[in-house]
This record gives sequence, structure tokens and C-alpha cells, in this order.
Amino acid sequence: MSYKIVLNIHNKDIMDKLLWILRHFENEGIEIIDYKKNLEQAKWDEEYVEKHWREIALSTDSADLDDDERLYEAYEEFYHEKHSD
Amino acid sequence: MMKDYTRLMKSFIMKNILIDLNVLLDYYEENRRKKYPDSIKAFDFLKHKDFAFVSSSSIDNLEFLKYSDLSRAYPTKTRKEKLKIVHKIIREILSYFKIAKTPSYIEIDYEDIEDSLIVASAKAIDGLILTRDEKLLSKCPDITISPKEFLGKYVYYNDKSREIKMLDLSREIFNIYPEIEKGLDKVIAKSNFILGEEVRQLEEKIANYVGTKYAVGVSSGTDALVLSLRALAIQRKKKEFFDKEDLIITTPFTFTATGEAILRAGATPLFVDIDIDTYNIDPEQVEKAVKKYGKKVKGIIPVHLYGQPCNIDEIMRIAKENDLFVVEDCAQSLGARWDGKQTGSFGDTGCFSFFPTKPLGGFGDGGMITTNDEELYELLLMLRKHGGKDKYNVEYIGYNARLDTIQAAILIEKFKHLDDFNERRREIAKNYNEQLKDVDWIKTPYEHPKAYHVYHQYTIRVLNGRRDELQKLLRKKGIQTMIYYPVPLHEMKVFVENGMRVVGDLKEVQKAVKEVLSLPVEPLLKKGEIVSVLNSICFSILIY
Repeated sequence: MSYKIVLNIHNKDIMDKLLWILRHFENEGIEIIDYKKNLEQAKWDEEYVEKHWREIALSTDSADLDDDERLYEAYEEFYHEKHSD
Repeated sequence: MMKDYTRLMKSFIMKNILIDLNVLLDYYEENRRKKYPDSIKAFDFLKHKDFAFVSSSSIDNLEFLKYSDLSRAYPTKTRKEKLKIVHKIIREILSYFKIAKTPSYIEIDYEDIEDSLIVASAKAIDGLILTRDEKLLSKCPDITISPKEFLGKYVYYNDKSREIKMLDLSREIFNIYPEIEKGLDKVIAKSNFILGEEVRQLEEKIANYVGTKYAVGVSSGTDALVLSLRALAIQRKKKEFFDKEDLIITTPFTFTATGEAILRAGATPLFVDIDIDTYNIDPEQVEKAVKKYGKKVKGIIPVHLYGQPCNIDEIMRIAKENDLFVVEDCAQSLGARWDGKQTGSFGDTGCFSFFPTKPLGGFGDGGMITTNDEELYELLLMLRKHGGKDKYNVEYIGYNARLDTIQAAILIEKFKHLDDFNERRREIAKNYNEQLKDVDWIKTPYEHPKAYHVYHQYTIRVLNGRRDELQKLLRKKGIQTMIYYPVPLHEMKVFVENGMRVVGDLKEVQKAVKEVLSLPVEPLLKKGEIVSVLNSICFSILIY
């Protein structure tokens, strides 16, 4: 049995401190899977995109290309959105 | 086994690379970057390489896939916001790589239409698809390469075997292909293949550029010379052709077409020596020839060899004083200037070649005649089209010597780059000059103070008698060089047996033939390639 905690931290200093503490428990079975900036909260205006687009692009988790069904659904959604603009 | 290995290696040489969508996506996602490091290394290696492409068919898919990924990662974001990110990615990719078209000759595999499109793109650029797609790799082993194989064999082998060519035409063409393709499509769609609108447009552009009233598009540089001489025979002698005893002065240190045109126009070539510093016809020798042969001399064909204008002031003076025509052979000199004036604007006519390797080269043969003389212009229009204004009722012995519309369309697009390319050649020449100036057994090209040399060829003289050895050594190091020209015209059977005349001993020509060596000077030559040429020449000193 294992447990996962997903936290949303609004202060970078706190996040760094928390990570520092958690790393002390790595031998006790705590595994830090991922920690990243919450890029979703900011408004993606021109200035933000200019600065963070690469970071945002890199942060995705791509679809399984072999899963045709899922791919077609996404495709349909993409074009439906496009033509309903 | 060994044979297979050789075949495989050969198929890698200088092939263009078409980057498949999966490699592009690997580059723009952290998880995939960790999982597929070879994709990342290959992508980084290929950035800004002139042989790296993405298929036009991949761009739309890339937009959709990355958009979908963003939708899942950021469900609250609007379509507009997500597209901003996707378009940043696409813009960056297109700043690194050229687009390979998706041609119409697609062999559609209905099991995987996407693969069919990318395979067709790869064929259009004679390229290899860089892909991680195992299915595609096994289905099309001859035109695919995995990132791992690419980083190993392709990079290693091409690095070792990369030749520095005199002119890498495919590199030049692919650099500006989208513009050329647009012109080609227009002509094909209209199917106005003979004397279409593009021919007229190019004639107008060249006349404006050279600074003459008229320009006539013809089928080659050689035909430009022949038609000019035929038109001059009709104008001056009121005869279809010159007579055998009519002499036309030219240099024997040129391509055979110059002398051949004289014979084809019925006259006899009178060869005179060159000025060894410029490799161009020596006006003093021209004057001597005129004195010696008097009224038999009808005209002069000065050749602006390697892109350096002749001393045209002197040539024109001699011509004027002796009532001679001047046909400028500008096959290598489009853009070159004498005292600020373009070559091709001084003589009765200027004859340009659009042979693929020329400063303005087409996808085959082509040429242009420039003139300020209205009568000659009218005659040239007739001669290129069977000899009459009405081709069903002709007046002169004419030719089928028109410039194809399709060539004109290509040349119009390439013409936009002419000045930049000429300037780039001048920069390369300057670089060579500076680095070779202290090598005492090499004579770098001399540029006359009144000349704007376009360095169609950068030609040195190897003074120590070991020119051929140097050429062999450079060849071993993968550097192409050429000897323009190994046999002077006055030693060719065709001229010897057709009554040529010679003034003097032509000793400067003999010297040039033994000593000249042209080095790579193509406009897209890279800094590293120039350094390689220079290093190899300097290295040869150690062997001498």
C-alpha cells in the first residue's frame, strides 16, 4: 500500500523548505515524484507566453499515439473547437 | 556483407534529412526528452543545417497533437491561450528547418496516410526520414533513419566524407526553393510554356538591371553569341552570315562557345593574347591585330572572364576608331561593373548565360542578349523564332532558340538573390586574398581599380609549376577545384582546321593554361569550409 499527496504551494520559499524536509525522509520510503511550477494559474497573455512558453510546452504529458480511439476523440474536439470559434 | 555495408554507407552520403513528427514532439516535452535523448541530440545537431527539413504535412499534425497535450495538462486554459504556445513551437521549428513540400505524387497507403505523406515529402527532397517510428523504419528502411543511427553512422560518415564542392547547386536551390516553386506552379497552372509572360518580365528586369533599352531571352549563352553575330552580319553586311575571310577578334582563353559562335556565324576567329593579371583580352594585342589585318577585322568579342570586366574603355575606343562591332561575352559576369556601369551595356550586344552554374543559373540552359540598338533587337526577335516576325512566313535563316517560360520563372526568383550572392562571393574572395597574400608561390586574383569583379570563379595562379600536384592534394582532402581552361581555343582541332588566325605567340595564355586553378567560391560556402580550403593549401607547403 502506498499513498500520494498532491499539494498546491503558493510560495516558492515554503516549497523549497518543504522539499528540504521531505528529502530527509527518503530513506524512510518517501519518494519525491515530481514538483513543478503551477503554470496554469497565471494568465497566458503575450508577455507571459513570451517568457514561459517553452516551460509550458515542456510540461505536457503526451497522448499515447497508438491509442487511436483517444486520438480521434481529441482530433474531433480540436476541430470542433476550431470551427466553433 | 561488405557490399551491403558499402551500399548502406553510400545511401547516407549528403542526403537531406526530413525530421518526423515524433522527433519534433520529443524535443518539446520534458518526459520525452528524458526518454529519447537521441532525438534531442539529433534535433540539436540539425538546427540551422541546410540539409534539415520538416514536412509540410507534419505542421498541421504537430499543431493538433501539441494542442491536445496542452488541453489535458491545462484544462482551464482557452483555445486561444493554448494556440499561442503551439504557434511558438511551430515558429521556432520553422526558424531551424526548411519546409519540404508534400508533392502530388503520393502513393497512398490507406493503413497509414500520414506516413504516405511524409514518405512523399522525403522523396521530393531526396532525403532520409529521421524517425523513431518502428513501423515506418521497418516498412521503408531505404529512406528512414533512427536518431541513434543518425548520430552514429550518418554524422560520422558525412563528417568524414563531406566534400567542399566548387558549387553545391542543390544546397543553393533548396535554400530558395519555396520562391522557385511558386514561380514553377504559376507557369504549370497556366501552361504558357513558350514565350510566356515570365519571359517578357525577365527581359524587362535584365534590361533595367544591365541598363540597356532591350533584352531578348534565348535558349543558351552560346545561342546569345550566335544570334548576336548573325544579327550583326544581317545589319552590317546585309548577308545572312559573315564570310570566311571576315575576322572576329577574341581571346583563346575562354570556353569554346566564344570561338564556336564565330565559326557558326560564318566568320573566322582571330585569337590574341591576354593580360595575365586579369586573364582578359589585352587591348594592346587587339590593337596590334587590327593593324595587322585591317579591314578584314569586323568585330571584337571581349570575354569578361571569371566575372571580371575587361578593360572595356580601351576595347570600345579601338572598336569606334576602326568601325568594329563589339559583342560582350558576359556569360560569367552578370552584375559585374566597369567604372560603375554593368557589363553587357557597352557593346552592340551583351550575351549572358543562364547555365545552371552561372551567377544567375536556371534549371537547364538559357541565355539573354542585351542591346540598345533597335534594329538589332528586331532582328534578334526574329532569329530566335525561326527567322521571321511571322513564323509561318520567315525572312532569315532562323533558329528555334527561345528562352523557356519555365526557365524564366525560375530565373525571376533567383534574380532577387543575384546581388547578395555576388557580394558574398566578393567577401569570400577577400578572405582568400588576405590569407593567401603572403604565399609567394600563389598569385591571387587582381581586381582592376575600375572593375567590380563578381568572382564567378576565384582563380589563383600556382607559380611554382606544381599546380596539378596541389589540385590532387586538395582533391584528397575532399576539396574540389577546377582548371578553367586546360586547353586554349587555338590548340583545339575545330579552330585549327577551320582557318583560325593568331596574333603573336600567345605566351600569356600558355602561362595561364599551366598555372590557373579555381577554388570553391560559391555564395553559400561556410566559414569552416573556407578555412578548410585555406588550411589545406597552407598544409601543402609542408609537402612541397
